[in-house]
Amino acid sequence: MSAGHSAYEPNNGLMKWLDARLPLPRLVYDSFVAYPVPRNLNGWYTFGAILSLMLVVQIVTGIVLAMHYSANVSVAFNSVEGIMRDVNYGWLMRRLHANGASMFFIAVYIHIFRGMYYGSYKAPREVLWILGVLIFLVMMGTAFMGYVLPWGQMSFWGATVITGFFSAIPLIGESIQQWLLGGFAVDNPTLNRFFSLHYLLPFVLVGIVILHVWALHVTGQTNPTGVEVKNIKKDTVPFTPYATMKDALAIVLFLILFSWFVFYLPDYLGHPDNYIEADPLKTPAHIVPEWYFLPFYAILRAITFNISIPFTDIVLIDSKLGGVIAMFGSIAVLFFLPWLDRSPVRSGAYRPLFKQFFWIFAVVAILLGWLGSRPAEGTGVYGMLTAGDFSRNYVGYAQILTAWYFIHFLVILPLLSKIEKPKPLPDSIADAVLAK
Amino acid sequence: MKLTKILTGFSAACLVAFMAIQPVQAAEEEGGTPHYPINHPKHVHWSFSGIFGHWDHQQLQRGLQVYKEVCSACHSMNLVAFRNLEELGYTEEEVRAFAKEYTVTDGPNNDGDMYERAAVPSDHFPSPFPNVQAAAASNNGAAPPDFSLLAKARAPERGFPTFIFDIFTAYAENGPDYIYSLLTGYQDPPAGFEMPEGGHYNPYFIGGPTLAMAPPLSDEIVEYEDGTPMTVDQYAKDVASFMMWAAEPTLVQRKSMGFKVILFLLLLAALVYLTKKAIFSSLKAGGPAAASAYAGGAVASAPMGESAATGPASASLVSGTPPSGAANTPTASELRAGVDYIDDIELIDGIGATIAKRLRAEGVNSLSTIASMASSDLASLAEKVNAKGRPEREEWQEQARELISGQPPRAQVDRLKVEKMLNKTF
Repeated sequence: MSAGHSAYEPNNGLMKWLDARLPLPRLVYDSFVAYPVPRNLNGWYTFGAILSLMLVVQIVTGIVLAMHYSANVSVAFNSVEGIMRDVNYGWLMRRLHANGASMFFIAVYIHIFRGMYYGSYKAPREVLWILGVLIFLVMMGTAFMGYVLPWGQMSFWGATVITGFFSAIPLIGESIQQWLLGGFAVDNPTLNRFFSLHYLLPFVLVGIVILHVWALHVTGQTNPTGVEVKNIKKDTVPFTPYATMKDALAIVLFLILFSWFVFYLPDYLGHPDNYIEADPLKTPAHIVPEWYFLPFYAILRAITFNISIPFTDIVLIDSKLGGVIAMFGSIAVLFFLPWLDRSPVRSGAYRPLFKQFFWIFAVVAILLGWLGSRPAEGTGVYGMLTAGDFSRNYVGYAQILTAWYFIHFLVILPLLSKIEKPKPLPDSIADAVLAK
Repeated sequence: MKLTKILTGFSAACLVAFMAIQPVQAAEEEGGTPHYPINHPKHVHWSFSGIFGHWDHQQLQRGLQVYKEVCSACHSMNLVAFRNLEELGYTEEEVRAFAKEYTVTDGPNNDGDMYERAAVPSDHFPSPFPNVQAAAASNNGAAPPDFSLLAKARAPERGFPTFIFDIFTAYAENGPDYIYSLLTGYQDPPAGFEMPEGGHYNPYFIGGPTLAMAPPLSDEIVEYEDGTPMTVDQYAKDVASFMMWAAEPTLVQRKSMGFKVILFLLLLAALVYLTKKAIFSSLKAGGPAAASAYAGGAVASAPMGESAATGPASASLVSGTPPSGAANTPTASELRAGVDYIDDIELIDGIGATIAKRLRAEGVNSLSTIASMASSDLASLAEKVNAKGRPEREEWQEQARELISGQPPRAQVDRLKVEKMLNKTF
């Protein structure tokens, strides 16, 4: 679509001059003014714009915070409190930044689930989807390192647990862990490099986001019908004013939610233990990551068993490595989604079976998040089967839901494309709209 | 056939996987780990709760008094400076006098010696112990926690579904509720409870059934001068309020700013919503209206003029001007840029201002739309705008095509208008 001819016409001498040398206004005009978007996009399609805004909010507040923050274990905690108490509007900057991270993840999860429901990952948008998963991964890394910077108890112990994953790698794990930490345990070198990377990665994100938007503008957006645009005039509307205005409304509504947390519930999404300075000698009763990592944390802790060669005691994968593999696998599987779901019908709205499994999956993901916040108690599925241990068997529930998580991607989606009978698709986007 | 194969393969894989699994025996005792606190904190109505929360300065001052006379014997408050006390309603002079009562260590001086002096407002509250180890040594091995952030560092989990309701009620007072409950919650242990040495039973304590701190408050331990009841309950409320202030001095500033920000955003949302609605209303009309979303500009460019004669399908994306607006009058500079016709439906003889207005309300606002419509569609549209039969009689579509191809309008008055605007004679 963007391959079509440009509709931009410079309307004064300066713009003509610039257009002949660096056609930046032309790029912006063609991408965000004249760019055709499907006329039937619903509210779920506004989260891309919301996410772009959140990235900017995080970078701007983050740069201000970095001006007042000290990345040294002896003063990091108090420098953050100095921002809260003595820097003019420092409390606002920090609240915006900390809650902004949570809002960023709320938006990204909705954006991802929207993509899953409407089949946005299917050809020809595989690269677009993969870039999105990559953005999600880099976001997770950035958020994790940012959470370490205030140097509270959860910062320290979260960092200890997460970097501990690498020690699970056979043979070279411990060396890798020490190399990443800059020592034998989380300490000043760790804090320094996390600060450095936390400042760097958002700009990497900006780069990948530009690629993501580029890929989007090459293939064009999907839409709730999943039918490709056939007639630009009938099926689409220009980005400005239509999408611009809809995105603007969504952004303002999202900012209301954001403000509600920043001004009235600023600590709701955080952990109280992070108001206690890091103490390497005192482990908190329950180490939990930030809420947006909880489903993955639950998957990590669900693997409480070793994988051995059947009928022998030779352990192939011990439970720790198994947990790490399952956790990274749960994200890695997203990269392969375009090839796991082979159904030719894009939109879930026309796939009666897929639709049901999609919602089951969404509930499973939320329940996994809840289990991630529970202590790892219980005897697991093994205990359920052998001793009927069902009450508060959090490990057991997590094991069942983790299994379902993978079954959804690896079994259900490939099977559905073979057995499902989709509903008839509309001939075009315009037909679908006019039928309403 | 294929499906059964897949299912068989899957079950076989499951069987092998199951045999490969070796449960790691949990080292945990039966019944799982117990959860603390045993009792949920009691609810107190705080002046600073809710969206209009504010400080009760009298209460904060009483809380400071309790801290100074009771708690500060063991608990430090490192992050709070004396100058901050002005926020409790004290004058600068009063703060200066208050600070003077404390002695702080300063130095080294020019002789290299540390020395003691009276505190000034820029000093922070001095710690009762020289270091954490000394604090622990004097308190059965457990150093009393610093007060600065305690009201935010102690927040017992609210549990499902309460934590969801909390989002809507903006409940964020579990810290002070906890402190109040702990201070008033000391009680005799249940029968058969084995009290550890130096422990004090308190079902509100977050770290276990007992804590090392003996009940610190008792009735009339602090002398209030303003007639407030001198009870443990009142002391606990006052000091918990004070600790909330110490943990977040900007709390009230935050809430009052939040109210203004959200009010502004709500108004903005309403305006943006109305704008969006107005812009999208033209799409509701259906096909032709949507098509006209692109040709909303009053003046079409030359290449479009050519293609429009055969239909609008290949027209370029000319302009994003909202189609629902009134007819746009092209500016002189736009006209000079090689334009050869004016895209104004009023140039059709028979379409006057009133019918044009109704047509635009239906989303029809460009000549190319009229030219390319099915004549039956146009006929029914005309009926809608009170112009039944006129498109056929007055040859609207032919007129539109003529205008697009650069021919002059049929009506003399329109012709003059076009001549004047395009600066040419027909």
